[in-house]
Amino acid sequence: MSKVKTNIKKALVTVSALLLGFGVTASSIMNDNFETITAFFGQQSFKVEQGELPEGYDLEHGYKSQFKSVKELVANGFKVQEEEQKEGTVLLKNDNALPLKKGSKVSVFGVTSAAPFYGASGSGGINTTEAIGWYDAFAGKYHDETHLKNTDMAQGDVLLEVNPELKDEYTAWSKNNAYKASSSTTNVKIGDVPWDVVQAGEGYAQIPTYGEAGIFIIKRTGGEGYDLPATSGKNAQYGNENYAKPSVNDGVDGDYLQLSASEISVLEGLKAMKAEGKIKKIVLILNMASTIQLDFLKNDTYDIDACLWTGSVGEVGTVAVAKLLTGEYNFSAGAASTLWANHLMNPINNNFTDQNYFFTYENYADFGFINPAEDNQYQSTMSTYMVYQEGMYMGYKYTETRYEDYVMGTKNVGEYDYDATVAYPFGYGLSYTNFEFSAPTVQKVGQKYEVSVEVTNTGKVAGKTPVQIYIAKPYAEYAKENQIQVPSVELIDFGKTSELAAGAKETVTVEVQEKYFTSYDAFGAGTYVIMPGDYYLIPAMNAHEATNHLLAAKGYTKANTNGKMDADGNAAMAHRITYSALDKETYSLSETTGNPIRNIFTFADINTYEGRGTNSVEYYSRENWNAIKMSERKEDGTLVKYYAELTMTQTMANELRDQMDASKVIKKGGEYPTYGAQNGLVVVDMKGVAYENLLWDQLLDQMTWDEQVDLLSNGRHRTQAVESIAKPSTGDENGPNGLSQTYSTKGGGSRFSGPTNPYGERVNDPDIKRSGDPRDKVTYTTTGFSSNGVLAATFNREIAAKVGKQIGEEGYWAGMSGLLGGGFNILRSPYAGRTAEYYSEDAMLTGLIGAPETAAIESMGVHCFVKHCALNESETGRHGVQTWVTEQALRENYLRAFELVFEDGGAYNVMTTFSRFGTIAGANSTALGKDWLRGEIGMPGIVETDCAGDMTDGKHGEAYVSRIVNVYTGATDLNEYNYGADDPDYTGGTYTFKHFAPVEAGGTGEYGNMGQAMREACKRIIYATVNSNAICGYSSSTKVIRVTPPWQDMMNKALMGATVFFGLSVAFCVIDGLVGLARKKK
Amino acid sequence: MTQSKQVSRKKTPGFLLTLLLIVLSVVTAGMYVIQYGNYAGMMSWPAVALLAAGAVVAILLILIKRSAWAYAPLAIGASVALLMYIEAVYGYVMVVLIGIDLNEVSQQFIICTALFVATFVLSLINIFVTQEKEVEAK
Repeated sequence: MSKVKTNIKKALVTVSALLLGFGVTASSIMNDNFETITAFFGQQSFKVEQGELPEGYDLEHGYKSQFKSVKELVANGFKVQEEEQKEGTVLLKNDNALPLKKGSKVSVFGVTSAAPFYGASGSGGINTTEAIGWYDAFAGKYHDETHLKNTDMAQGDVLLEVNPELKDEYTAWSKNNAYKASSSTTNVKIGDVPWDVVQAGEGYAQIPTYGEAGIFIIKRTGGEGYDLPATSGKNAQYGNENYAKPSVNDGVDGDYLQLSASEISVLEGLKAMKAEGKIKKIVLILNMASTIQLDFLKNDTYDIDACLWTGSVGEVGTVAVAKLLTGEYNFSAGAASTLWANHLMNPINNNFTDQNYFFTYENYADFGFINPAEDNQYQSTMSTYMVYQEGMYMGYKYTETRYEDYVMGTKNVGEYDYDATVAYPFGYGLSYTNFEFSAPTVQKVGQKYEVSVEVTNTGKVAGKTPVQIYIAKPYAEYAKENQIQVPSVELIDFGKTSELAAGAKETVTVEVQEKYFTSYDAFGAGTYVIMPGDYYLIPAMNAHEATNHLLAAKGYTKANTNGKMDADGNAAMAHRITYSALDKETYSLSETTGNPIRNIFTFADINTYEGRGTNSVEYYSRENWNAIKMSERKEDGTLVKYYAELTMTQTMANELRDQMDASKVIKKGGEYPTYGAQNGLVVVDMKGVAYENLLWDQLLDQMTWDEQVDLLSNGRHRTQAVESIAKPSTGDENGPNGLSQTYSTKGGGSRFSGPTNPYGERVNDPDIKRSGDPRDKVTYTTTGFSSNGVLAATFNREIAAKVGKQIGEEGYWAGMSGLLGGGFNILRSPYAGRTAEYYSEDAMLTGLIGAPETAAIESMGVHCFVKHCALNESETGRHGVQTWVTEQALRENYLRAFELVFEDGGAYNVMTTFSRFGTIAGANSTALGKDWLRGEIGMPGIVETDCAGDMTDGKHGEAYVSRIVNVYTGATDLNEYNYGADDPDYTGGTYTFKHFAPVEAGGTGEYGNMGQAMREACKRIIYATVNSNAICGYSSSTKVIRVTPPWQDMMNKALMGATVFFGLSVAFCVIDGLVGLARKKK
Repeated sequence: MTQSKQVSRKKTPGFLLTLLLIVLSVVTAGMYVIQYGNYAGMMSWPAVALLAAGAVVAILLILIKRSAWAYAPLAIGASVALLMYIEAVYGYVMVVLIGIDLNEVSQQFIICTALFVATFVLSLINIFVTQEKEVEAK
């Protein structure tokens, strides 16, 4: 009995102690993540009290939806996405195979036929619940206003009758681990079913019956956090370090962007069946945002009759593709990036960190930095780098320029085989009809050129076509003297015809800005210049055609170049404009701010960086095409990259450490601003008030120190509410391919972001999800769009604006006032992980398509955090990788895309790159944040970064961003992460905001300048908020009151209960012990 | 008839478990230091100190022939150390499990977590296992 009693006492104390211990720990962790948890439970840390409204007060503040209900909005999303896919699907090859007759009996191959690539992983992820698969699309199913769910799809005419047994088999195979595709950092599998397995199946015998065509659908995935591997397993080679965990994949030579053995076997099988007459045509569908090596298509290895690139198809893109295949729609897209015949011939890939590669300074350890190979979580931060050695010559700017120099016989051009390099050039795309362009007429109007082209549909069916306008700038004396690199042709703008009936004509006029005649002259004028010489404006159907027109204008023909030219151009298509003198004034000032444009990124070019030591790099130039030796693949599949080798210098090491060291950056001095004044203003009062207006000072004076710390510390998909000025919180969500949200009320369900402000709730739409709704309630979600390469391939601003308007409306209805997108980085390499998020290899196309999309999103009060500005082209080495690039290439090939979406698209906010400009992290760079984004481009809103929160908790994720230092310098206003009030500036950091506080807030009162910097950062956040849809539902009389959310209230009570339980348990044991002792004494 | 108690230090399961836990506490602390000692972001030195202190106090109690109470410092050390370990590494867990980077949980993390959990669970069991063997006085 005594033993039992003892055990009961032990159990009581143990259980109560554990409850208390775990309770205290949980409480500590949960309080650290207060805002994240509050958002997770769909709760609020504040409440909103609406006061009296003046009569007729517009609580929507001018925002007006064109939709009457969520259902109407969802239906329109499907419509817009189908249109995007219709105009963005690229027909690469068609030997009279397409269109297929509607209702044709076909056999469909490939596990992708049953498991389409709808969208990417990571921030480019999309909703796919209602996505329509290939089989359903071929069967004529679709969504309309009354059929929004996959459980109840609308049924149209059957477009293609699919071999049913083969379909069932592939449906089963697509779930079989042996065949299905997968992706991770250790195993990226292409998969698919070998032909002998297909032959053994029951569907094989039916192929002749369904032999109008064999349609083979293949995919490659991709996403945030990892690049695509060009090597596999033991064949991988890892720069100058051995990477701990090389991934494996089943592509030929271990190359994910080649065919797999299974895919080859299917193509060979189909070829054989075609030869036997069992199938009539072979159609290949490339369901991938990236592009595989297409030598087999160009060389006709497998007798493929037709091939189309669809990108990732979004929710209903399959429906558009099915209609394109059967001729209900016509193709009208042009490839947004070069399709390579051989990726080894792409000079970028030498200096690109695909999944199994990164480049480290050989001597990083001398400076105390860790070996990135020790950690497969975050490989970079301090010791890795990447050189953009290609300079200006990326994608078609390389292939076409070297081709031109080869044709012209320029010295040092080396051996160059265009056909072996390029499968299909930038801008290329076929149609079911043909078009002819007239010679352009060009007229200068102010600082624009109006380029008019008469387009004639010379084919037999209706169709539309892009009219791409290329510019050729002079590569002459001035350029050579000042190291200005000049690609042969560059896309400068574009237009698109309307739907032209067979035989119809239309004059397309494209307004070309003279400012894009400029080149960035880093070594001469230190600004944009128009060089003296001949310029050509060339309308063309693709970049290669433009180059041939240019060569023709220069007098070259196939005949007089011994066949070096692969086709004769038309000199009349190249309109010449001559500038007789150097102009270094006209475009040396910012259009938006009037500030001078000058060199601000020389520290990012290893050749001009002051701390370079003995390092130097020979970038690609037209003077020496042999500067980069192409990658080689050994017989065992090992890829040898001849990358630019650098060593770390002491200056580099010091800068890497010092840029985030508050003790070295933040200086004492200055006057603190006013805190806690009672001026009676609220944020809504500032709607329409200019940023420079002194009224802002009165508003900001009302904020307390603690409120400013809170606002600057909580940016995880949100900005924080502020009680003293009645600032609403904002919900800011991913991402570049759509919002990926469910329509719900503020408390309608768990979500990643902070509190939302849904229009759907304000109009009490019956179809939005509410708190407490049953699990089986029918819910509606935002649209999942195609990969952005598809949008770019449309060459259609109207489609871009429609997509943008839909995203803006969806944000408005779902309560989001921020979109973490679009993805305006450049598809520098086909091996880039985020291929679905990025638009093109070309910055002009990216920006010209991104601008109308962005403007339309912004029109609904949804601010775009355009990302990741800039040089965020690789994923494997993204965490702090030191990127070295010339200022000309940086500005013309990378920043240009962002420039366009800010200046022409009106984007408000930015998310900085994970990478560094030279040694300086993008998030820490005042050159980027202050000088370029605000000073040159005139960005009005928030500079945010998500790299700090994402990397500081990794095992070896050496922090490289200090949120507190960055607020002080003005480089970054906000981290996309939630921090507690007393959290340090980064993991392992020792400074908190309190260290810099005024005396009344518990600090030393010595850092007034820090106080001013914090106030300025707060102002930018509030300025963005008041000019967004976050203020909808708010008026001058609306109050924002901080409250304890229910989860925290419950947790506090539970903790109190655990404390009491523990106390009582201990008391019981003590009293019982004392009573026992007393009894013994008696 | 009177009875007296005598401790059988080598034969009770509790005593053997105590010895095992002393070793396990030291191994857990050592492994944690080896794996994460150079990384402040996931290191809790108080956790290491508590595990070591628990083991040291338990050894002292055995030396002064009070091994019946050795379970207590071991259990306190293991429990509080586990809590501190959780607080130190939860950020990493969040990044890996709900983070956007496609990665796996590292081997080091699995080893350390397994050791901490094993030490904790065994120390709880040890509380309820017989620590003294009662024998009749001769």
